[in-house]
Amino acid sequence: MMLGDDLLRWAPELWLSAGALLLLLASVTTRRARHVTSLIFWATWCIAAGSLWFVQLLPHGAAFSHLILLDSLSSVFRWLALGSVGLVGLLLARASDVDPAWRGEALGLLLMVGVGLMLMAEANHLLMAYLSMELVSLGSYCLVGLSRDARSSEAALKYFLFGALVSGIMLFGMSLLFGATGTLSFAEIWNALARLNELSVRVCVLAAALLLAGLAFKISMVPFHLWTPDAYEGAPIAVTALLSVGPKAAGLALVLRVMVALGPMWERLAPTMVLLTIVTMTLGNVVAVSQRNIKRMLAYSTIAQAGYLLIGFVVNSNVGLEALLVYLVAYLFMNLGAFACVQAVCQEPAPAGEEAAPQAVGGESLEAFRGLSRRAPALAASLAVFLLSLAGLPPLAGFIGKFLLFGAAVEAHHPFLALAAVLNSAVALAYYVNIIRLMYVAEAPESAPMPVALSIRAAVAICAAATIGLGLWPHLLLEWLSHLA
Amino acid sequence: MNGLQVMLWVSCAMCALGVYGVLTRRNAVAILLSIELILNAAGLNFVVFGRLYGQVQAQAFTLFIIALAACEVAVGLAIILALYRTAKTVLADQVNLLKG
Repeated sequence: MMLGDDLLRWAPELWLSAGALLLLLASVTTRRARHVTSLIFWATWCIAAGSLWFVQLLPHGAAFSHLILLDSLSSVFRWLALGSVGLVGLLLARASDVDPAWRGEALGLLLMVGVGLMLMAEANHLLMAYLSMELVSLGSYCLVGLSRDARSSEAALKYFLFGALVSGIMLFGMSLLFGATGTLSFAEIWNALARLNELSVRVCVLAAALLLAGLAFKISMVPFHLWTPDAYEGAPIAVTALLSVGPKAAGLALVLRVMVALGPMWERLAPTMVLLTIVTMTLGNVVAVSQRNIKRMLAYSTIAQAGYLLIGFVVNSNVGLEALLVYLVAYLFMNLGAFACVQAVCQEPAPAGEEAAPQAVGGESLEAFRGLSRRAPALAASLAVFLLSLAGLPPLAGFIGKFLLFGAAVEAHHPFLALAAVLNSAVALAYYVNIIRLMYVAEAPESAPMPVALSIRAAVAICAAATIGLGLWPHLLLEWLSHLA
Repeated sequence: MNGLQVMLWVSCAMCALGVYGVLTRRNAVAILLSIELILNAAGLNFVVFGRLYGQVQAQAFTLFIIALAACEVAVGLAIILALYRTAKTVLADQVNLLKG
């Protein structure tokens, strides 16, 4: 295989990396020129999107001496990563909790995280799995600690210490797996695992558990979810939005890849995974009900959503995989849309002539949503759409995804899994509808219309259109996915 | 006990020591040091097994681990410094604004 061919098929990531480095350099040299940095960001994003469209036409297969795998699965996840980077870029453009002088660095780090997310979905080798996860992690640690207040630094510290510990443990698991199988490539690990003796299999089960712990951290699966609420609450809202979608999707992609390698051991791991899936969604939903801070509530909601997503993985079938991809696409739009609305409400600019409101906890409490429907009708309606879609009501995109996921669980003879998921959806409805009640029924503390920045309006509009559109015409998405496969 | 076993015991002990350090230390810098111990345990494993199987890839893996550990320390110390500026402490259990 020619190196030139590989580089051509990997062009989107190359463009993103080049843009990221250029942005980081530009933001150091021209601190004042904010337009330059956003211009570089959007130019890079558009070129990457264009080249990603183009590379789909090229033949699929392994690249760079089988270090990465560019196939239909990675294609879907590359689009997901690029989509989340673009939408988060829109949110970052008007984020008041990120110092404008650092916006260039933030956008550069965002592009770097985007490259990491794509690489996670392409990894075909333990080294690539580790490198891509660290790329995403290191970028996210910096982004979480970006705003200059104590909560942001604390969130970054907690996220960093937990993440570094888990990645160290995962690395130890990888070294044991290598010790037992003698190879680092996923395909060869499968071969080696299929003909192991009993003792080595036990070592491999331990190694696989340690390896999955690192991935569970990325998708915030119980019991590795502890960092999620703190990191989500302390981080700038745009970064929270990124963390809730990007690393989760890429983490699931990497789990799928790793599980291909660990295939011969699936029987031993499956019962634990099914149990943890149920615990993840239940814990997320039950704790979310009692939260008063909107970011913290959405953090627990994303833990629950991770539980739903994991259904598509633990059923271990093609139907499950397709359902997982459909739900991920829906989740990208509905969750990022919800965070865009939250950013519009929590960072409402102070009216001219008045003192800017301090960054207090009050700004992020659920009370901020009181009477929103009278102050910003379009925003309230969009948020209602996103929340109902997250709850899984028809005819929205979330319903299609959940319907397919639960169907996959039933088809794979996991009735308890499906039952738990349905019960959880009922619990989840309680706290999603609570916000809608506050927006539409409760009295507004003030009546002045709420100004919403143009970039946030654009993000909300894109997400709302996709959430409703995918719900009404799901066959478009299904056709696209089957066309890729 | 042959050389391989000795090295495996050493790396397992290092990993266990690292986890123990993370769980018991209060100072964020000390926790960072303990995490480095875990990374080095994994690196040692890769070198040992790489020699056993005659695989150069594993030795290269260790080089990557060393490089990434340096990056992680850079980011980690930056975060600890930022925390010290706002909260005036580096003790991990004294930062508790976020809970619930």
